[in-house]
Amino acid sequence: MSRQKLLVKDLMIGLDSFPYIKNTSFLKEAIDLMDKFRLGIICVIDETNKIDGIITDGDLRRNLSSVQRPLPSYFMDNVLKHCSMKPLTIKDDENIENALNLIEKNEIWDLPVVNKESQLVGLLHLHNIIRKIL
Amino acid sequence: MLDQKIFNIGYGNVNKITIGDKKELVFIGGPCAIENRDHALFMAEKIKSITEKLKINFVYKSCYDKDCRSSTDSFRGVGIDEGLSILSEVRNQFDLPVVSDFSDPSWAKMTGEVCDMVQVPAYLCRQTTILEAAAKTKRPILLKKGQFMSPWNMKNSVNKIESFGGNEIILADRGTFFGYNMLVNDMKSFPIMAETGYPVCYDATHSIQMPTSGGNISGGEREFIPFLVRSSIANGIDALFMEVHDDPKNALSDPNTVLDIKYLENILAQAKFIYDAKKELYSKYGDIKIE
Repeated sequence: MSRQKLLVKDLMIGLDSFPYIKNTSFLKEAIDLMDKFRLGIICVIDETNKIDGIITDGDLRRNLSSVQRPLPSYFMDNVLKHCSMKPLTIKDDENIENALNLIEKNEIWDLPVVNKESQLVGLLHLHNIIRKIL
Repeated sequence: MLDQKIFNIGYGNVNKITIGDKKELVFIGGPCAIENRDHALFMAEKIKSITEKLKINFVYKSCYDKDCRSSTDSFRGVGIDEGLSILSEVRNQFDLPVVSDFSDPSWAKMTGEVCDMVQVPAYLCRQTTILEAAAKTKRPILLKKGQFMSPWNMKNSVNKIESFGGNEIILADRGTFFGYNMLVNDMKSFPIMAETGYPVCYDATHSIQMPTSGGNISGGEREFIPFLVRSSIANGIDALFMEVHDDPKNALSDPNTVLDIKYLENILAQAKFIYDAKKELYSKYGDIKIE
């Protein structure tokens, strides 16, 4: 299939292959999941599976260098406290070119993918895209 | 912070009390242990008249079996059958919601059938079977923070209760161990525990306790109660908890920490004044959120 005809859903990774977590969880649970998938990102969703925010390795690094509290207290924070809220997302039926433009323009590695109901359905991860289209 | 939880304490014909809406201060109090029927009714009437005069919502607290006493020689209580029958009489005679703790999972069902709220003792606050039993009563739960627990780790106990279907919880701080035989209050515990969305409570009379400092009995520094009450109310709690007695020296449980009822009206009047002033400040200037 030519690159121009590829849709986001053709190249995204599915819900079983990247981490996401409910917005009522602790930060430590998010970190453990991030560790398991090794993608440097986790999506935070509400009870209707809509995306609230994302946490990246960079978010954690920046928080860690400024946190003054005991580490166990930091671990027990609600995930939303450490989220970048309302992240950029892309619809699953959009053309991959649009996604790549968004990724390039914003210098990001990942784009959460949502369906028509704005529910999280996948993740576009730059490495996977490159692997598939090159 | 998760969404603020608001719920009622009280079933049947008693005065129903709303907590979590930040409108009115709730006072939870009474003698530590139920000593006998007449004393329980006497105390309920006395405290009710004070709280009615001050227009403070009141939940009567007294326990039927104190499983955590320092010595086996200490008074343990009147027992579950007699205790619950006395609490039931307090409810019926004064229309007051009542709360008692339970130290054994098998006592939870009966406690919840009579009491409007069930209390989880501080020493047992992370015991899964106790938390499960509390949740299954379907009554609001007064969850004391263990003296050995950080306020943030209480979120685990909250999660346990929620996983068993409980969703009406009040988190209470009763002091944190500061070395041996000594407790201190970390006033940060209230905003930290409030991050759960559940109402928070300050237990003033246990916070000034000096656990087992008397060898086979706990001591206490009662003189600090008014200072700590004023601080906690200004901090932003939803409920104040104090054990009250008409004759502390001869109280059968916690004689060194219970508050003499002769001070109650003054302390509660100050508490209400500060609570209302804080409410006014918030409505005028809003909450201060520092990033």
